[in-house]
This record gives sequence, C-alpha cells and structure tokens, in this order.
Amino acid sequence: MSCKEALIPTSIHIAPDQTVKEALHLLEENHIRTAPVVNSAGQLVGMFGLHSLMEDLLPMAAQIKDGLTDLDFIVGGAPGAAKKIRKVGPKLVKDHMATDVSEIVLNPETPLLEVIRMLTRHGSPLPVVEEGSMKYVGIVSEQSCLHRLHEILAEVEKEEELEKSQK
Amino acid sequence: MNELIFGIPAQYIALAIMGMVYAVIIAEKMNQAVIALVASSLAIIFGLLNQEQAIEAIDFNTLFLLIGMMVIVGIMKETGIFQYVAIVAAKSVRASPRGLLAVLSLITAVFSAFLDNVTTVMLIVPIVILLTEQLKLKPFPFLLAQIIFSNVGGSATLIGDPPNILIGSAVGLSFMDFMVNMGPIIIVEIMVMLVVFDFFWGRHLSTSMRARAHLLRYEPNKALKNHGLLIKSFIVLGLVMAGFTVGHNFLHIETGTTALAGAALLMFLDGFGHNLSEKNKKAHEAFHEVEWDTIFFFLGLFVVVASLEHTGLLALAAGKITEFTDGDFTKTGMAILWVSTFFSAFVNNIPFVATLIPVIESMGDTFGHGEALNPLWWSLVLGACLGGNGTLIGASANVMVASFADRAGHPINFMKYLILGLPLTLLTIVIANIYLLLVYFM
Repeated sequence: MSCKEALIPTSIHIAPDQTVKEALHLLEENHIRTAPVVNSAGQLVGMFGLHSLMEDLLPMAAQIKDGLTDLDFIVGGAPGAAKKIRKVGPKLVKDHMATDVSEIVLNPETPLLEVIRMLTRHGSPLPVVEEGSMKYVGIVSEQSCLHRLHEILAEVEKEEELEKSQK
Repeated sequence: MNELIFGIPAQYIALAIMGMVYAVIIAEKMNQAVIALVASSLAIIFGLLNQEQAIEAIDFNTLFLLIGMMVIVGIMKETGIFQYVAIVAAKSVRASPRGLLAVLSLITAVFSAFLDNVTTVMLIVPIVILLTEQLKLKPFPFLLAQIIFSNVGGSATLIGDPPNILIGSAVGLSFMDFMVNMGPIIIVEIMVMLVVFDFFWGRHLSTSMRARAHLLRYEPNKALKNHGLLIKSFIVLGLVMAGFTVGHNFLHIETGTTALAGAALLMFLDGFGHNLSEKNKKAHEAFHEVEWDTIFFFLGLFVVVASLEHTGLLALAAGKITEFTDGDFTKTGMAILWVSTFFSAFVNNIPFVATLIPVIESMGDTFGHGEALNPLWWSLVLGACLGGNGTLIGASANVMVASFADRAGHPINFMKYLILGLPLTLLTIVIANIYLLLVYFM
C-alpha cells in the first residue's frame, strides 16, 4: 500500500509568475483551498493557498519569527487587513507562496501509513513529487486517502467473509 | 611560574588556548559556549590547572544571578506587561511619530537597565515594527534607537549588562554602588541621545491623522494576559530589588542568592493552586527560559581566564600596561576606557572583561587595592558597555535587532549602521570620559 494508490493526478496547478489574484480565482473556480505551484520544467516549487494569503494579511510584526504572539489589543484592524488583499492581488505568486515544501512532499512510493501521518501533521492536501527531480506528480488529500482506505476495508471484509464461509 | 608542559612553557599554551577562543568567536565558526567548553577542557587536560582549581575559578555568583534573572523574566514576559507598557506609552504621546521615537527609546533604556539587553529588544522590537507599520513610518531610526538605548541603559545597573555582573561579582561592587556611580552619568547619556535622535530623526517624522487615530484605538489592557501572575511577578521583583539593595547592604546576602531565591519563589507562586503535573510542566517551562549556552559560555571562560592567571601572564600584562601609562592612574583609567570601547565594538565584550578583571586587580600593587581601584572599574564598565554600540556586531542586542529588521524586510547593513552608530558611540564615550575625569580622576 503506497502513496500512488491514493494519488489524485490533478492538473490543477499554479505557475510561479501568475498573480495572486489569478491564483485565488483558480482556487475559487475549483472549490479548493490549496494548490501546488509548478514551474515550467514541471517541478514543484511551492504551495499556494488561502492560508498563505491569510499570513500576508497580518501585520509584519506578527508574521516574523519571534514576533507578536497575539493581537488582542488592536481594535479596528479589519479595514487595514482588507486593504492588504487589494495590495497583494497584483503581486506574483512566487513571492507569496509557501516555499519550504521539502518538509511536506511525498513521493509515489511513500507507504500509505506515512502518508496518513503526514496529513495529520501538515494538513491536507500534500504534494507528491518524483524523488530527487522534484517533478510534480499530483496531490494526496484526506479525502483521497480515506477513499482508498474504504476500498481496502471492503477488500478486507470480503476476505474475512470468505474465511468465515470456508469454516 | 616557568612550568614546562611537553617542553613548552605553560604561558604559551594558556595564551594559545585563549587565542583560539577569540579567533573562533571573531570568525563566527562555532557556537561560543562550545568553544569556551573545548578551551576550558584543554586547559585542564594540559594541566594548566586541575579540576579543583577550575571549579574554584567559576564565579557561581555571576551564574546564579544570570540564571535567576532569566527565569524571572521568562515567567514575567508571559504576562504581556512589556507590550502593555509600550502601547500605553505610544498612546500617551498621542501616537505622534516624534513622541513615539522618544518614548520607545526611553522604555528600552529603562527595561535594559533591569533586564538583559537581548531580552529587552526581543520584547520591544516587535512592537516597534508594528507601530511603525501602522503609522507608515520607516522603521530604521526606531531600530537604530533600540540598539543604542539598550546598550546605554544596560550600563546603568549591576544587572543591566553581563560585564557589569562580572565586574560587580568579582570586585564586590553592589547594586547600590552601580546605581550611585553609573546612574547619574547614564541618565545624562540617555538625555543627550534623546536630543540627538530628535534632532536628526524625530523632528522630521510625520504621519497622517488617520493612522494616528487608528493607533489611539488600541486597548493596552487586552495585552495583559494573566493578572494573577502579574501581581506575583511584581511582588517577587520588588523583593529581589530589595534583596539587591537592603539585603545586600545589611544582611550581606549575595546578589546570586537573591536572584535565584526570587526565581524559586516566583516558580513556587506560579505553580500555586495547580495539580502536580501542571506544576511540573510550569517549572519545566521556567527552567527552559534559562539560556544554558550563555551560562556555559561564562563557565568555560572563567576556567580559561583562570588558566591564564595561574601562569602569571595576566599579572605580566598588568605590569606592561602600567609601564605604558607611566604608572599614572588617570592615564591608566583613560586607556582602559578607550581600549575597552574599541574592543567591545568589534568582539563580544564578555571574554574581554573577564580577562581584564584579573589584570586590573593585579594593578592594585601599583595603585592600591580595594576601593582605590574603583575608578578603573567604572572606566571598564563604561567602555565595555557603551562600546558595544560601535558596530552592528558589537553586542548581542545589536545582532538581535538587525535580525528582526531583516525578517521584517528592512535590513540594516554593517556599513549603514557603522556610519551612524560609531559617531554616536564616540559621543557617549567622550561624555563618559569627561564624567570619569571630573568625578574620579581629579
């Protein structure tokens, strides 16, 4: 049982030099929250999602490492955050995506149990790439993983019934 | 002592070990604590001193004071009190950029006098970045002020900066001694720097009324997280300050004991009313606030410096220095001030001060022991602490501010800092020099 069984070989991906606005449009059209960012050579270079956008809406002091850990005291900050959406819209995806993907990538041979562990630790979906070349293959999500597990369960139950009837 | 180790004079070995520590620190190739431990191990293995002598060389009073204050501040920062003070201050000047530059500088100076400088800037710089972003101001003058004022403020008290802890502990100068001797000059330095910053930056700053109105809506009370803990922290802090002053002078309780007792009391109060597993978790977190690498850096240095001392090398250096200054007390004091300034501007001032302490102590043969040497100690304090402002790598607080600036997308490079920081440093040293001459060397 490995990752490729739960793989969604999706073609939905974003180019690094698309604008944030275009990328958000793509997410909305496809009813997804996160999409892989793939360069012209077909390699995964980052992930872009609503989460990355949210991060950009925070004041810089809360985005940085060791920065502010709560913003309780800022009253009436919403219009400022809203204006930031306008500001990041025309910017390029490559400057606003999560680039530290090495921690979260899977490859087609990753065992399914490790895939489940990674999904629980790093969220869903996760990108799947060819090992070494970083060539983008597809994604696995909680749904695709569960779907595959249900299939496996059906097979297991069939075997169990077979065993019972043989006894 | 002309002992030979493997046919090599012990002095050369001691010098080589100390040289290695400095070289590695300057080259930034290894963690400072690790190199200090490697060096102190070598000193013992080569027989420059045995383990018993090494343990004797470790100034546990300094280590206890550092550990105790780290625990207390580590627990206290969870209460949000430092952010609260900064936001209240910003509102008190009606969020005017000019006023903001002054109050944020002042807060950093005052906090640095009582907390570690690095801790201070780690607490205040995120607020500085937030407020300057809200007011659409360039953060550079504010960040520059954070560096300068943290080092100036830190000079004022026994616990403000590690060199002071080292000197105070080794020589027996008390918290009150520091307050009385360094307090007035540091207040003058702070006032001068406030005027300088206002003249060059503050009076030119402007922002929109809209941005200011936005900042005035902040609710500082919401930044306070744990009122119970806040009250406990203030009680403990008050007791610790009383211990540093009254306790030290009348009950002869050393500062290390006071700080560690304070940390123990605060941990006890913090765990009060919780079940054992929560108590354990809280205590574990509190001990985690101790920067053990700093503690072991000191520990290693004490041993390395003692090995130099054992070979008689430091007494020799003291002799050379007094020879160079013609045995003149004033000239020696000025030499200490300026040499320590330039040294601290480029290298970590802690090993330098640790080395210089026994050197100055052995000058007692020329100038008289005990209180007679005090003017030289004050020269060392002012040079070592204020000198840290000289370059962007002169003190750990500077490096910390620069790293924050980088992360926030407003990098401060070495030269940009040097052009402004060095003249400001020289100004503070000239003022310090005048003070020393007028008060101690006339």
